[in-house]
Amino acid sequence: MRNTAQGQPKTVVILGGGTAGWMTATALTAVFNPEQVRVRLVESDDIGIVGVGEATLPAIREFNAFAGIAERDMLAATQGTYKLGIEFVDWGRIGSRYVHPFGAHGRPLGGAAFHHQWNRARLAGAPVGPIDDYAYAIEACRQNRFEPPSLDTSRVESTYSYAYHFDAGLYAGFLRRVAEGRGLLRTEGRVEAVERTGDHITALRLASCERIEGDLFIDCSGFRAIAIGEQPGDAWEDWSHWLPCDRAVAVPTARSEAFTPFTRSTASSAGWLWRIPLQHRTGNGHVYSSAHISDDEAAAALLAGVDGDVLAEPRFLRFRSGRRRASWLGNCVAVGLSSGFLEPLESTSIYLIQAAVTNLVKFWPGAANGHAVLRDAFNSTIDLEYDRVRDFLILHYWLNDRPEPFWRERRETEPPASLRETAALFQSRGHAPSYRNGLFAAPSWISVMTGQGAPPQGYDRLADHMPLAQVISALQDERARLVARVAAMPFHADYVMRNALGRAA
Amino acid sequence: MKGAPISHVVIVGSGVDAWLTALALARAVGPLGVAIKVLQTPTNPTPVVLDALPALRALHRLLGVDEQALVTQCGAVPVVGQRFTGWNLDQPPFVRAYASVGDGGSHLEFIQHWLRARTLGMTASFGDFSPAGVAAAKRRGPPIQGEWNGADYGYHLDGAAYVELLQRKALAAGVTLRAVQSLTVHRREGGVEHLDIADSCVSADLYIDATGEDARLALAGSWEDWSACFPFPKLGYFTASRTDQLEALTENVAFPSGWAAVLDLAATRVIAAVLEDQISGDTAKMELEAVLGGSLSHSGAYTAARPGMRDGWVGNCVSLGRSAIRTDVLEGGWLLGLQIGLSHLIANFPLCQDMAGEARLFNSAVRRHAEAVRDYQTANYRLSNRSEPKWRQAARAPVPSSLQARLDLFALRGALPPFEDEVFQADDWRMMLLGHGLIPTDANPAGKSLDDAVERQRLLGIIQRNVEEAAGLPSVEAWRSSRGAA
Repeated sequence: MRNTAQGQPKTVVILGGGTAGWMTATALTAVFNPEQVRVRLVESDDIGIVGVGEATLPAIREFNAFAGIAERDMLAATQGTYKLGIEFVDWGRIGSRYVHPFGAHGRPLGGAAFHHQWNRARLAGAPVGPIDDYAYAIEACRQNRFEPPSLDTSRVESTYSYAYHFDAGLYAGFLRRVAEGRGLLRTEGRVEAVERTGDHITALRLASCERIEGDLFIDCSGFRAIAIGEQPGDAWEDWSHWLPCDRAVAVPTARSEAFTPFTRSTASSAGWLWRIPLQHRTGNGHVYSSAHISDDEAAAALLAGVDGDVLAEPRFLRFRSGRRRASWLGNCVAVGLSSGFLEPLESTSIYLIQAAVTNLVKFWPGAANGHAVLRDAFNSTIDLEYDRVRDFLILHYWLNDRPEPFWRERRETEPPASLRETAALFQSRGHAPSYRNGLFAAPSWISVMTGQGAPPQGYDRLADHMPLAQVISALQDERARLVARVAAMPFHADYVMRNALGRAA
Repeated sequence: MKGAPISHVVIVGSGVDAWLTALALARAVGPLGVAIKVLQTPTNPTPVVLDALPALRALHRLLGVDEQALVTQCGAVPVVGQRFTGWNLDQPPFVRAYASVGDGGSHLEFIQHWLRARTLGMTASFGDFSPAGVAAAKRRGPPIQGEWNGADYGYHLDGAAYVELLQRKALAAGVTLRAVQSLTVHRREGGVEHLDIADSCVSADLYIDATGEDARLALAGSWEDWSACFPFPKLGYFTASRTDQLEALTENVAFPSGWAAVLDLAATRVIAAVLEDQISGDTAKMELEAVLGGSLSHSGAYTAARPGMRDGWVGNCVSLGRSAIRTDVLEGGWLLGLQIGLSHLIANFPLCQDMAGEARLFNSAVRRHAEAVRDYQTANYRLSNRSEPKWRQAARAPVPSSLQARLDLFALRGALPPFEDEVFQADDWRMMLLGHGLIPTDANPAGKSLDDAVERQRLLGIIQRNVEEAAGLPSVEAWRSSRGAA
C-alpha cells in the first residue's frame, strides 16, 4: 500500500527545475538512497528560470558538503569565480565606497575586539583610515587576488572565508547531471492542475495528461507558487514598505579587464546596480522601485554603467518583498521564490534555498503523529532566517544621506524596532550582534554601519588596557603586514584559470 | 557619550557574590582608573561547597586565579561531569559529561547515528561517545597537561576558602573594604542616589547589589517567582568522611523526599540536600544515610531556595548573584546566576553615566541565559518517573512553553533548536534528555539510508579512541598532586 497520508514519504515530487529545484534534488539524492525515497522532478523546458543568485555566500560551501558536490567540478561547469565580499559604491552617500567582506576586520587586540581599538584610535584623531584597511579579504578584493584561507587559525590568512559567483543556468544544469546520476527521475512537462484534498496534494496533472503522484511535494516553481498555491492575504507578510524595490532588469556583458573576486553593488537614484564577474561574461542588473523610475529609465541607467559589450537584450523581472508565513503547508513545502522574496542585495537567495533544504532534511516527515511538530519546527526556523536577512537589508537603505526622493523616503521610513535597537547599540558603544547561527554576524554589521557613515561614538572600555600609542602602532604594523601578504597571493584570474577553468572559457 | 566616565564602583554584599565581582572588576577595569570599594554586609551566603561548571575556569583566566591556589587552598577537586542516580526507576544511572559527543562530518547530527545503531541493537549509551563520559566512568580526571580535545572540566571548591582567596586577591589588586553593620539606601529616579552607613555617606557612579537574597539595593516588587518549576525548596548541607578514591564528578542521588548532590572535596565529602519543605531534619538525615550508606553529620541550618529572577540592571545599580537570579542548585546552579551576570557586566561595562543602552543589553542577554538554565534544570524534574507524591507532582507540573516545545520536538525527532551562546549546549541537553530516558520515537528517516558497515566502523572508532584516551588520564589524586597537593 502506498503511504499517502501523513507519514514517511516514499515518493517526493519537486515541482520546478530552477536553482531551487535542482539544489533540492541534489541534496535529497545525496541524503536518501533511491530504495528508501524516490525523488522525481517535474519541469518544463518552455518555462524560463529566474536564475536568481548568481552570487552566493560562504555557507554554500557547507551545502556542497551536505549535498556531496565537489567545488572544482562545480566551478568548471558553471563558469564560476571566487567571491570574497561585496563592494558597496555610493551607498550611504554619493561618493562612498566600502566592502562587506567574508571575514573579520583585524584580530582582537589588547583584550578587546579589533573594531573597538580601531574606533578608539579614530576617535582620538589618529590617521588610521577606514576599517576596510584591516580586513584581509578586503585587501585581496582591492588587489583582485584570491586564494583559499589558511587552515592554521593562528595566521591572519585564516581570518576570512569565500563564496562563488556562477552562471545560474549552468548551475541548474550541473546539479541536474549530478542528481540524475544518482537516480533522480526527471519528467518534462507543464503542470495543468494540482489535485488536492484539503491541504493535502495527491498528484500533479501535466498538460500531457500524465498524473504525477507523490507523498511529499516540494514547490520550486518560483513566484507562481503553483503547488503551495495562492494564499489568503493574511498568510503573506508584506515588507514592501521597507523594501520597495519591485523590479529588476538584467543584461550580460562581455568579460572585462576587471576580473574581481567580489560582487559590486552601486546605489542608483531609485535602487541599485549589480555587477557579477563570471569566467565567460559579466552579469549586470538594476534593482529598482517602479514607483520612482520607469522601466526605460532603469534600463538606460543599467546600460550606461556596464563595463563591457552588451551580449543580449535586457530582461525584466517583477517581484514583491515579503514572505509566506508558512512555507510548509500540508504535504507541500515551498523552497526558493515560492516561499518569499528578498532582493539579492546581500546574495541571500541561494542561502535561503539552502536553509530550507537542510532544515527540511532535519525535520523530514516521519511517523504520522509527529507531522505538526516537525512542520512547526521547520516553519519557525525559516521565519528566523528571513527576519534576520530582512533587518540587515533594510539597514542598507535606512542609513543614507542621499538627496533623491527614493532615498529620502528610505531614511524617513521607520525601520523594524529590532533594527533600530541594534543600530542604536552599535552607534553608542560599538556593540554588534553575534549570533552563532544564521546570517550576518558582527563583521557584517560593523562593515555596513561604519561603511554607511554611522561608526560608533564609543568603544569597549576594556580596550583601554593597551596604551593608545601602542594600539596605533599595532594598527600600522597590521596594515603593512596585510598589504605585503596579500601582494603575494595569486591574481583571481590566474587562480581561476589554474583551478576552476570552465570548458568554454 | 553623555556624562562623565565611570570612576567609582561600590559593591554592597558579602560572600562569593561580592568577592568574585570585586576581583573581576578589579582586573577588568581597576587598571583603567576605576576605584572599587566593597561595603561588606554581615550575612555570608556562600555554601560550604561550590560546584563550579567549566565556565568558571574561563573567568579564572581573566582573574588570574591559578589552579595551584585552588588545589592547595580550596581543596579543589576536578569535575568532568554530573552523574544522575535514582532519578528514573527503570533507568541505570547516567553521566552528563562536560564534553561534546560523537564526531562531525556527516549531514546528520551524531544523535541520529546513535539512534540508528540503537535500533540495530547497540547498547552503548550516548555519553559513552564523549571523552569525559568515559573518563568519569573510570574515575579519571582531566589531562595533567595540554588541552582536552572535546571535553572540559570544572571544580568542587571549599566555599569559605574560595571566598577568602578571592578576597585576598581583590584587596591585593586595590579593592578597598569597609565592613558595615547597617545601611540606608537613598534612591533617585532611575537608581541609587547615595548610601548612608553608620557615620558617613557613600556615593558612586555604579552600585552593585551582591547582598544575596536580602537584595538590599534592588527595587522591590520586580521579582519573578520560579518556585513552580522546582519542587524541592529546602536546602541543607551534610558532611561525610572522604572515600578512598575521590570522584571526578558530582553525583546527584534522588530519594523519596528530594535529591542530594554528593560533592567530594580533597579532605571531606559534602552532601547538598534539596528537600521537600515538610520533611523534618531527622527524617531527611535518615533517608540520606539509607540511600548513600554511611553516617552523615548535619552542617549549618536549613535554608529556603526561593528560585526566581529580576531584571538586574536598573539605572545605575546592577544586582548580581543571588540578589538577581536564583536558579535551582542542580548542576552548578548555585553559582550560575552570578557567572551569567558578571560576564555580561564585564562585556557591557558602561562607558559613562548614561547607561540605559547597557542596561537593556544586559537585561535581555542575562534573562535569555537565565531562562535557558531554568528550562534545562526543570527538564530534569519533568522527566523523572519516580513515584513519590512530590516527584509525581513535579513531573506533572506545567513547564514553560519554551521548554515544552523543546521536549516535544526532542521526544519525536531527537532534534533541538539552534543554540546561541548558552550555558548548556546541545550535547548537554542531549545527554540529559536521553539519560532520563526520553528516547526519540521518530529518528530521522535519512538514517535508514546510511550504510551499516560504515556506521559500525564509525561508532566503534569513537568508543575505541575515547577508551584509549581515558586509559592515559590521571586519577583525581594524581591530578591534584600535579597542581601541588601534598
